[in-house]
Amino acid sequence: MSSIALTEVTKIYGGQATVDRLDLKVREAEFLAFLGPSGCGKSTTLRMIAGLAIPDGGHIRFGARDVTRLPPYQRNAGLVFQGYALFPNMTVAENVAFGLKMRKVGKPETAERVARALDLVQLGHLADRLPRQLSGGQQQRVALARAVVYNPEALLLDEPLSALDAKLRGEVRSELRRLQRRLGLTTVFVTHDQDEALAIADRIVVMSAGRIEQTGTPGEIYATPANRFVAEFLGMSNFLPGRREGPGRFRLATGELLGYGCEGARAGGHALAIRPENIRLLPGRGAEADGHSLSARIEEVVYRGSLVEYRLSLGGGTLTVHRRNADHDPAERFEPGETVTACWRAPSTILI
Amino acid sequence: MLSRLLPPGAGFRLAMGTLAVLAFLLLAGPLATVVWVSFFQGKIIAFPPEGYTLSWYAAAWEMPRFRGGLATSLWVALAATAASLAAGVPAALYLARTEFRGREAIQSVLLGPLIVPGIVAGLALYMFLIEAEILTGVQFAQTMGGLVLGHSLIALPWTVRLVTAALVGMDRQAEEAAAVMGARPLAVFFLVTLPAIRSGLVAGGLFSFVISFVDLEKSLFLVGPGTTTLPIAIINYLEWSVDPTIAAVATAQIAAISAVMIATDRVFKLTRAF
Amino acid sequence: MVEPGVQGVSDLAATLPPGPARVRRSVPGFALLPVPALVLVGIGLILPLGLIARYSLAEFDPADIALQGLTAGNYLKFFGDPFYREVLGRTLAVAAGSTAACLLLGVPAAYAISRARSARLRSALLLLAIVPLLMGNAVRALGWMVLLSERGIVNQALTGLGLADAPVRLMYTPLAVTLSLVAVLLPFMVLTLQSVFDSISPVYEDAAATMGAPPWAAFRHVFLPLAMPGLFSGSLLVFILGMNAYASPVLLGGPAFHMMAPMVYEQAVEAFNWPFASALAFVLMAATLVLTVLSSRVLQKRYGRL
Repeated sequence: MSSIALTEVTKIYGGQATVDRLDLKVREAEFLAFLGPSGCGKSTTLRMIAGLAIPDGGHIRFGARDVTRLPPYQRNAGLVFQGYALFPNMTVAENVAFGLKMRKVGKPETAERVARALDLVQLGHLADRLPRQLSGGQQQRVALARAVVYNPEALLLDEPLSALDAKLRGEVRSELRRLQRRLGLTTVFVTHDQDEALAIADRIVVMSAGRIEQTGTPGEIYATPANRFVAEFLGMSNFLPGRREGPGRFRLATGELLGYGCEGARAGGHALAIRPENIRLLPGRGAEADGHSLSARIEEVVYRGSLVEYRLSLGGGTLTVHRRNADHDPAERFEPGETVTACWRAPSTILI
Repeated sequence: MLSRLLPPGAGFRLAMGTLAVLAFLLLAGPLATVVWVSFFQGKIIAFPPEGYTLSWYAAAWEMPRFRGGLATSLWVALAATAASLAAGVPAALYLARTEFRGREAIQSVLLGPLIVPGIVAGLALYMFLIEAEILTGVQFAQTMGGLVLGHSLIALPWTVRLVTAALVGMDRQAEEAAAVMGARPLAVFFLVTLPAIRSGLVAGGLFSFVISFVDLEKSLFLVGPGTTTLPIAIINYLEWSVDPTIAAVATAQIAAISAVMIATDRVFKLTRAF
Repeated sequence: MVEPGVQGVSDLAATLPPGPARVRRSVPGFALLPVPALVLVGIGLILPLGLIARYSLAEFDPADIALQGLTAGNYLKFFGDPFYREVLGRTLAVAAGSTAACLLLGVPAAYAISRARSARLRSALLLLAIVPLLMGNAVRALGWMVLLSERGIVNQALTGLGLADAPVRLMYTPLAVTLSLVAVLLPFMVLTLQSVFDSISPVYEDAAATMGAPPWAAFRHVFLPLAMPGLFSGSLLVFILGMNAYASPVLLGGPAFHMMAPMVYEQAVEAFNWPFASALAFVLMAATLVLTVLSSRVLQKRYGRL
């Protein structure tokens, strides 16, 4: 197991930098998720770490070893592909044994290690099946066993859960996390699914257009997005346009003065972000100008099962509010057309 | 040893690359040579050439057997193309749209001409035509009719294949929409189906033409005095002499077929036919 | 033009939708659509094949070509005479040798096409394989005759480089026949393999590489096993076409080099021995068919349904 360090890593496709001077360190035994929309360079970065793509600039190190120019077969990394890429002509056991065969591990030891890896993912009983005879979840676990059986220095996962149905995904996710902890694997996980990244990673790297937008723990990234991109990409946010007037003071485009809790690390200062679940609604027009409430009119009420979504119109825009639907507090139920006061606690607004 | 000097994986790539280059040389070399030689000045082909001239093209054009061969080949190829489309398109429509259990059998029969070796099929048709001649007293063998029949057969599987592929690949919902809007089957076919498979039709036609034009094995038995195709004229000439004249003839054929293929490629990527 | 055999059939089968196509029964006369094509094949191929099947069992009378007698004599003559057995053996050997050479060259060529870095290179290489295929055998044989003749490029190069003192006899040798045959058949191999290779995702080679397989090992342990059915069907196709080659042996083998297809022609047109020519044609067809069926049996056993 070793750490992975990327310095100034750049990859150019067709004259454009798909990955642009990326600096990053993955700590030993850390579970790091690359999160971003498709085409943001996260998969390319993973492929460069695996050795399947050669950087046009910068360096990649596994521990102290510079692997930048090393072909994949000399890197000793384990990669789980998006579609798993299980060899269709080999049995489960043969698939798992492949990496050991390439390392010229003897037959008895191979058999023993393959059995252990398959037990680890609870597939010992399916060793002689062909991949096409397995379910999607089972195939995923074979791919995982195949990637860890030769004790790689890093485990790389390219959207490994995207081919599974929603129900199975959660299960496999937990299992993956348990396995990673147990083996103490340095893991890089690529996904475009924010829920997945939030649920599984120690740290998340949000990428867009080949650059890192923000790095942090799931809590940090969700609670204090660095900029509008991150706030928009992770979860849902309301954006109130305006400008910063001084420390802690923000003038809305419509004239009201609001306070805010914190500033995004790379804030532009042109909007306040507030998450829909952080807004409470009170009946009637409330006291104005406390810096963390606004009067609004209910335009639409959307029933969404565990929550109710209210669409509010403000003077200059709209506001989305989510209220939990658990307790039927009649005082908190509103109809379209009602005037309400939307209020929040000051720390939950962020200057973006 | 070598693998230690080269970057990792280079040995494999070098070996594969060398063999691939050799393969493509083997494919392109003979054709390039023919074109080159057709411009050589000397009547006896020798390398390097004494000089270059265009006169062999004129000489070839003066030879009735090549001019006649070209005319025969063109007419036969056109007639065979027409026949293979006329018979092949309805058959393809049936194959693509039927749910009849015997579909595969019909398909095998229609693709049969691809499987039976040309020389065997040519011999069989030749003997069959002569037998028919003996029975009826009408000449069939060594006539244009016989030649066209033989060539229609080698073109037919290609038409059926390409048109069936186009029919299977087209959007069936357009046909159904037309039917729902009140179009009768014939109107659906001419207004919706046919335009949708246009590229398949053109490709089938052009392919039939080329296949017929260059055929050698099957034609051997079917040609006769006055009905000799260009490839047969070429091979007959080659049995006696190899000179720039014949290279000029061959180059002309190469140019003509290239033109047809470029036209085909415009409407239908050639690479999809294989 | 040699005819692509097995590939044609398997490809069309692949283009048809699985299961029954949608119904068209309501259209009157729909079932008559394939009739013209079937009649064409019936008159032009099936009846004639029936005729030569009968003729191959007929007695030969040089004075009268009409069909007469019923005998196995033509086949007995073929298998009883060492000369004809040798022709069959030579035909098999040339076809097998050409197939092996086509594999050796065709796999890298198809791999180069299938794994080409740019789309432009890919289509250029593909055209390089398709164009010769459509030029016909007569023209390509001419190219080889020029290349291999006594004063041809190859000999000029050999003497020029000091590798030979005098021109080497290349024409009218088995080597010349095989070489030109390999060039004739190579496009079929390359195109068959290329379409199979295209269907093998490069992700398998990537996966092998991340697990520690150098290119050669990934190719041998992962790519080739996956491509095996394609290698078999390509080889089969090339072998069948090689067995039936006409232009190459006639033009580059010379009068002393006998192979089956030219012999069919000679017997029918020059010797006018229809019964024997028919028998030869059937032996040729049977040899190809038997080998085709046998090898696809072996293939299915090893690799399941193709």
